[in-house]
Amino acid sequence: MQFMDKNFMNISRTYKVAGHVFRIEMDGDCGIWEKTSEPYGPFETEEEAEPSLFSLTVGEAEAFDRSNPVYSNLDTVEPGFIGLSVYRSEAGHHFEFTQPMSGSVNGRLSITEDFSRASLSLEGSETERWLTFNTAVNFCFLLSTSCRDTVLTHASCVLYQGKAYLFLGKSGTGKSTHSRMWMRALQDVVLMNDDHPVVRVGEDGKATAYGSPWSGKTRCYKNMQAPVGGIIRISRAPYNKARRLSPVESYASLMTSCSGMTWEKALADGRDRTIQSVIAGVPCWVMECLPDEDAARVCAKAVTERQA
Amino acid sequence: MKIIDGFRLRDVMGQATVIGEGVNQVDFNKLITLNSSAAYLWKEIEGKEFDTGTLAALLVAEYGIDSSLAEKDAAAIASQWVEAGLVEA
Repeated sequence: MQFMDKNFMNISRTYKVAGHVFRIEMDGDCGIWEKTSEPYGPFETEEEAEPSLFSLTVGEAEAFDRSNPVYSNLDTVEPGFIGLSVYRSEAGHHFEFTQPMSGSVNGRLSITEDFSRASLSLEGSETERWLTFNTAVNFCFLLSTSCRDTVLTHASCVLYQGKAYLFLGKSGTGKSTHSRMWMRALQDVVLMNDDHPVVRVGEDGKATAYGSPWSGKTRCYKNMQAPVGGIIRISRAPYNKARRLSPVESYASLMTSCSGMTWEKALADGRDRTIQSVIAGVPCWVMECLPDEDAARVCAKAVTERQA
Repeated sequence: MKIIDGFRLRDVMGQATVIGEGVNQVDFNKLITLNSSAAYLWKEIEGKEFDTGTLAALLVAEYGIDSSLAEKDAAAIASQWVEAGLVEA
């Protein structure tokens, strides 16, 4: 009977991140909803229209064709991180997430070729299901925005004097620390996001940074935006010095910090277009620095003076 | 020789640049810029089997240089590409 359908109690919520709208649908009783409230809550929107990006349904995912494996990081994934296997079929893209603890697959995500519809099935403890859910939503966002003048960056991002500054660097280089040094050493600095701020190029060609529901270990889920004032790669050194990057260096710097399934040519082309648009208008720097407040002052002076 | 699958030549702000975008280049964390003659050769041999003779002939055809100089340049560029991990023997 129709009213006994197991999806009967599904509820859906709509979110807007960097101006892109997506919808999530899952069982109203699912414990994951509660966990979404802090990171995703600030991005919830009342918009009724069809999402511009994707709709993700959490429940029973359809079985998918595993005959064409494309990529797997199971041999190289660092301990404690979710493992990933990617498959391709005519229906679209398929992902299997492997839990770091148990080593077993606890999530299966399928996304249509045009990235507009996704389905996700989850297993395991509530914490495991939440972590995989969060990763899956992040993937859906990354894929569906790849060709929409948008990049999901790996950066720490602060707001200062009306502009957003992104700090890039490998994990452990001190991106977050550098943000904290800005907050200590300078007036009115706000942390926008500490792991995955989004950068989107508008129709006017200008790059804007946005907060997102993905902020790593720091619980900083601010729904805010600001024009990008500078993109700064953090490099550890025994001194503090800022150097402006050449166009190719700028491209290399930003590219390294923008995720993407670039083996799909259309997605690589989309990322390439966005990165070139961003660096055409935004000064990029490398900041060789110590983890101290003087580093923040030296950096801020260099990156704000340039624009004055 | 052959270009390793997944490397793409792009125009980055006016500079010919090779970028590793394939599944196997997930950890290839660098860009390689090419001068105009190297970019010309790359476009010509993309997706094909080639050897230094192929490159030398292309250089002679495009720039009208004599073949002994072309062979020297071709050998140099082929070994650079192999060393940079862009080309497999």
